[in-house]
Amino acid sequence: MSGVERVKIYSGYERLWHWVQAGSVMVLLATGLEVRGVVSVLGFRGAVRLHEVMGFFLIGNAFLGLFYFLTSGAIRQYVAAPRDFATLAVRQVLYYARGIFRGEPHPVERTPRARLNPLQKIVYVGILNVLLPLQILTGLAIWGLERWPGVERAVGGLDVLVPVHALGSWLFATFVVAHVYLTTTAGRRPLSGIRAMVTGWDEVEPHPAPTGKEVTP
Amino acid sequence: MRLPAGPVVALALGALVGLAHAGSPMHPDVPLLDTEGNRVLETGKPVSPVRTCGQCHDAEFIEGHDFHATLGFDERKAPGTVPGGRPWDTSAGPFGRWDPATNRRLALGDETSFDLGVADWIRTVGLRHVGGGPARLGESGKPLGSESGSLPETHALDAATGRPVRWDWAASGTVELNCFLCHVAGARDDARRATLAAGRFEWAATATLAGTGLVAPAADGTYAYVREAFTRWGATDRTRMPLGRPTAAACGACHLDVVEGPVPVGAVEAARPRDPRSGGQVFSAQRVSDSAWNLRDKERRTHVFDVHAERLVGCTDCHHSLNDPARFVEADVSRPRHLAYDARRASVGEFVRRPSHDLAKGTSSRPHAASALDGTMRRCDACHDVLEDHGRWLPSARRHAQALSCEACHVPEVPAAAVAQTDWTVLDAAGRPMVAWRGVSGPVDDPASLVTGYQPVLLPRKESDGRTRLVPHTLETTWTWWGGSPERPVRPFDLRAALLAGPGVHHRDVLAALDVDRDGSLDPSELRLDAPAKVAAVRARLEAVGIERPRIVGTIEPTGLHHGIVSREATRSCEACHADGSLLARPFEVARYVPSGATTELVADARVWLAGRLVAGADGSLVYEPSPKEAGRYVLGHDDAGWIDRLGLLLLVGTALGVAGHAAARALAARRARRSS
Amino acid sequence: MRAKALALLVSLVVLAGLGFAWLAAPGGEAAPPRDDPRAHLPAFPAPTDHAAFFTAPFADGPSVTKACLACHEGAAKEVMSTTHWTWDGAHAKHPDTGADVPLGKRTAVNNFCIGIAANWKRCTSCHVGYGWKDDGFLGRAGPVDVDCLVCHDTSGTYQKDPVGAGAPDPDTDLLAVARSVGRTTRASCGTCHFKGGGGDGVKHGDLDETMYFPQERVDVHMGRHGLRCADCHRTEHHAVKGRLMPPTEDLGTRVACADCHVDRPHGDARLDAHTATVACQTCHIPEYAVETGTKEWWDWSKAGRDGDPEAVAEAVREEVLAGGEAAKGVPPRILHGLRRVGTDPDLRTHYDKKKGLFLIARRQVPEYRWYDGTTARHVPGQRYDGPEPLPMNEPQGRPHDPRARIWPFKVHRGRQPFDGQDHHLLVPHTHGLGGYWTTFDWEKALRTGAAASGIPYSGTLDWISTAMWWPQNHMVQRKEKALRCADCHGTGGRMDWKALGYPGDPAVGGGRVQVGLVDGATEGAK
Repeated sequence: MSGVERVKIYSGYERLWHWVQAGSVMVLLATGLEVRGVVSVLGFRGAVRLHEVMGFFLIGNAFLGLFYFLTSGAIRQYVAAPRDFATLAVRQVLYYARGIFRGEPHPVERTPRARLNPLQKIVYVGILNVLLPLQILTGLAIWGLERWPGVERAVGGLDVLVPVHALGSWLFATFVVAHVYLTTTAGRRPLSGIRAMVTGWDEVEPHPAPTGKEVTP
Repeated sequence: MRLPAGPVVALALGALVGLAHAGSPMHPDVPLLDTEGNRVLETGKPVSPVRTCGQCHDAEFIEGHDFHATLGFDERKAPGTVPGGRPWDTSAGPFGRWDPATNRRLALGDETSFDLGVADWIRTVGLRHVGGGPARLGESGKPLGSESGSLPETHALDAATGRPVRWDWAASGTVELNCFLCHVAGARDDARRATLAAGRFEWAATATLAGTGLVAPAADGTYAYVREAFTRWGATDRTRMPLGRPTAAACGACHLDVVEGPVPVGAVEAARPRDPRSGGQVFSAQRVSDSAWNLRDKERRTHVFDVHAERLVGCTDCHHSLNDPARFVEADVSRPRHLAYDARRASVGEFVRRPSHDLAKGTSSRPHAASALDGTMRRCDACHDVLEDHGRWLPSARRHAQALSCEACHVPEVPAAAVAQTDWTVLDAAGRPMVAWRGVSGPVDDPASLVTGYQPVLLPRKESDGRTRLVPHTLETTWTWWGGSPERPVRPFDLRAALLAGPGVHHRDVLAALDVDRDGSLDPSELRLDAPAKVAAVRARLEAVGIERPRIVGTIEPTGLHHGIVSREATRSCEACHADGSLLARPFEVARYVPSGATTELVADARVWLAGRLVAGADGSLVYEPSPKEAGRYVLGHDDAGWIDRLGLLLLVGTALGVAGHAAARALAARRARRSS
Repeated sequence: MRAKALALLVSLVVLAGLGFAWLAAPGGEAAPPRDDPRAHLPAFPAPTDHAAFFTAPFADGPSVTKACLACHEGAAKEVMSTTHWTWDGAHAKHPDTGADVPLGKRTAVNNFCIGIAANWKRCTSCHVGYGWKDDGFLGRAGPVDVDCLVCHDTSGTYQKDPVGAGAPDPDTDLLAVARSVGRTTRASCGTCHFKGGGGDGVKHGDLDETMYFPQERVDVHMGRHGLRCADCHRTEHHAVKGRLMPPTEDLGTRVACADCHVDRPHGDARLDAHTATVACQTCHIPEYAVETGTKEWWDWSKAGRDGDPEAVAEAVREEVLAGGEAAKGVPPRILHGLRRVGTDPDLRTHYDKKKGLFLIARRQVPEYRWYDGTTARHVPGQRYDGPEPLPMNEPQGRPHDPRARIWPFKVHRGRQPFDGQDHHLLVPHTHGLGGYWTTFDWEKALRTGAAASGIPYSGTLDWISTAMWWPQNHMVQRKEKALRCADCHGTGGRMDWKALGYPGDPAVGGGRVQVGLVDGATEGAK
């Protein structure tokens, strides 16, 4: 244990936002399954209402998060791209494919100022800026069928809206599986990632002698 | 519910045809006149309602504005030019349109193979006709029986030879528009029908008064007048012949199953509906649990048959005379948008003098009959504020109202039997077609048969506001033989000649082909052409009696269900539609069995269509599987997203597997590393 | 600190979001107040087994009461302050003399057995005490004269001697009865109230011996739900709630459907609107005397004939139907009923030499009157010069009073002794030595009765037709059997709208508020 540093890596709000987002998404996925008729727990009416409530909840949480990230500057985590971004991305992929089995260290060091590796940046930006807005917009269109009939007509009806919303939900579900797993690749122990997102503290091993290969984004 | 003492049948008939009511207190005593305008008490001739009632009411106007009288006769066209009709149809109404279920063909101007003359029509199909129109006048406009007339007008079918034979109109007389049938409370429709069936057409109106005590049947089928029953001045009085607005029971003489009064539904006629085209709809204020039917789960069904009947809404409250000042509403096409209600009305006197008998009609599923009257009836939303009530508990209430008719939820089931299939391809020993019923297991005339009722099928229908809504229907399939050149339906006479060797006995070829258990007679399970050999045998017989190239044609006819409305028992749960077993996709048996090699399709003149597939059922039946998507509706909770769901599932499962594999590999690698270090 | 503030902000947004979503989503079903009648049933203490308390046999009724009072000290005094003991209800001022006249059973005149004066030994067999054999009983009776057992027996073996002035039947095993005492049952009340008027189901129309263990189709409260009388007729300190046609509204002592049921329980706006005009009983008691016939007509004037009762009944019936003297004063409704005897299985006649001719009917449609809770009670001894029938307890109420409702009544009609000179009802001495039932001498009976009741007899006997209204409260049917629209409205309905004061059928012409009948319409405006 000696030499292990504890670094505050996630702020209180970031953690709160993350778990609220995660919780909402899980509830939305579950109620969404019931709305689609796959399971039956709350009844159709109950599932639809809970889905709608959690949807607005998620929208609120997402906007607040956006506000926070913009004003606190945390948005830099997502958008800052070093010049050798592509190289690093490839290195990250190779790490997952090969290096991790060999016990190699992470190619990209994680610091509080730069928490995300390139792959994460790609995925999270995609999730937060493409998939989430798409889900929100299609979800709002389905919720507002009766009060904005023009919207439904313009996009081609429920025949288009529901499949798109469904595809988004499948992608979200896939993301959840992959994301939860990949958190086990960060940190000293498999659950370190989850623990860090709960407590905010990450345990960082002492740096080995510089080889010249590390990068600090 | 106790049955009254005394003969049930007589009481039941009286109750069925008209609950005794006082009639209008304003109607004066009426002298009954014959066709020449003389009092019948003096001449002894049949009563002429047109002359009698025409003393005050404009009978010519009435008969000219009465689809019940004309039945399409005044809109007749050349055969083959009727929209949605057959090559031999001359009108879209019951007079001139071939009805597959009765399989009798009356074709004016198309005298290929004579089946029904007008006189025959009156005695069969026309038993449900109020008289006047084609039962009185010929195509030329002159009364039937005058010199010029087409073959069907002058001749009738000889039941022995199958050839036309002259009909003596002078002896039978014609059928006048029968005001008494609808407007006299307690009118005796059974006596009227018996008189018509016997060929005594001119006495039909007189027979209708059989229950009033004013007339007594004479030995020769005519009627004699009971002088003592008339007033001092030879007129009727209100207590004997109560005259007034038609009651629901009056309409129920022909339409639906209307039961008023204390006698339970089904006490007289077992499970067979009085109106075979009704789809089993019952218009009655009785509770289903109080009916006399052997109905499954009857005790649970404590709701009334029809909530409007319970609340004293009568037929004429919705199906009102189009110029009734109390109910008149100007058509939407001409009414200015700023006028919700135009208070200017005709006076009651004008109405009583010249009441139009064109009645308000909804958006029928078979629109071409009386098409000018289509959509003249107020719909549910004219009286009920749908959004006010449903908006409190139903999400997207307006959207539901745009996609579904009110009946879709408010007629969730029909607790009665209805005709499912009529098979004219074979006849039983008595020469009748095989009729299969839905909603009852066992013979429909046996009071002990279990009535299960049935759940209607929802068909998309284009409504007058341009929207397509799902409306509950029942579907009846009829299988008939067509043949000859030009191709026409094979007459029942020819069918009997082909299939029966004599009364009550089948032809030996038919027996040979159909008698599976070799007991010498054909029971109902054998009377079906479910194998090519059987079809061939019957076809051979038909060809032997001279029918060229006979083939089997199937017809599916939809009957919209708009009565039998329930209120609290309406479909309310979301999962009824928004779940896997959605009733919007519930399969509906269309045909009990399909004769070998035959196909069937929906009639061409329907405003509804089958949005789905017709598939063969396991037991040889034909089943309609509706598809809401084909009807243009995506149903949340029921419909799937097609390939997207499959792709998504693949992605998810693939990722999960990949993740599992990766984790396993890591674990292995870690263990190996530990061992080596 | 910043994190905390942001967390707070997030929580606020969460709440706002939830609220917005909740408002945006369609509301839940507008729930009317749920009808939960069971919640209003009185709670009774757990019963105590009295078997161990009594071991020695009892000599007579008062001995048992003494034993009861050893523990239940105030019970007898409580009973003695109630109407069950005093047989004294409201009082009225005699319209002619101005005297204060009690209207209770002790002094009332009805058109059944007419009055208890001089007939105490028979009539008080249904008194909740022992020994009321003469006029002075109430003055001298003490607590031990209260009969605890008649109500609290649960063995079913307790019987009162029918002519014993309230004493138990000599064969009754009082010890066994005493050991069985417990909460009152339907039999406790029914043993007297089902047999009023001298036989099973004679009097009320809605109370007869089928109510001991009724089937559901007789009464839904007692048949399906097993309720006992005391569940609705709440009793505190032995004062039982429930009044039959008192002169004033006397609300605190009445039983009402609303004691357990909510005002608008139907779940249907149209039906709920009827509660402003129609009493619950009207729709939910479609007919009375569901199983056992009840008396519709009691003609004392035909009493005294010898012979086989069936033959005499038929003979009297034919006399009445033939018209003339025998038919004098017989109302048309009764004549119509007599005519249908023989063809209508629900109607029959009965003749008793002591009492006269009865018409007994089953499954009858009630007569409907406005009733605001008050009654015009005929005062015993009051002079009556009006037309027949003499109304003994006419229900008051007009459509103009928003508190009045349309109620169902069984009307018992009769023909009874009337003073030909002074025009008042007479009370005959019927039971006992010298009474009409032994002597068949009206003069003697009426003289003795006059002396006992205080209502004078001038010597001129006449007969008068009377009518007595009995509101129907029991034999409530299950809701599926309630009256429906066509039962009252439309042609063939059972309501006589003109007689009720309406210009026409309110279903098509508007209710009493709309047609301007109701004074100051605020309540009941729907």
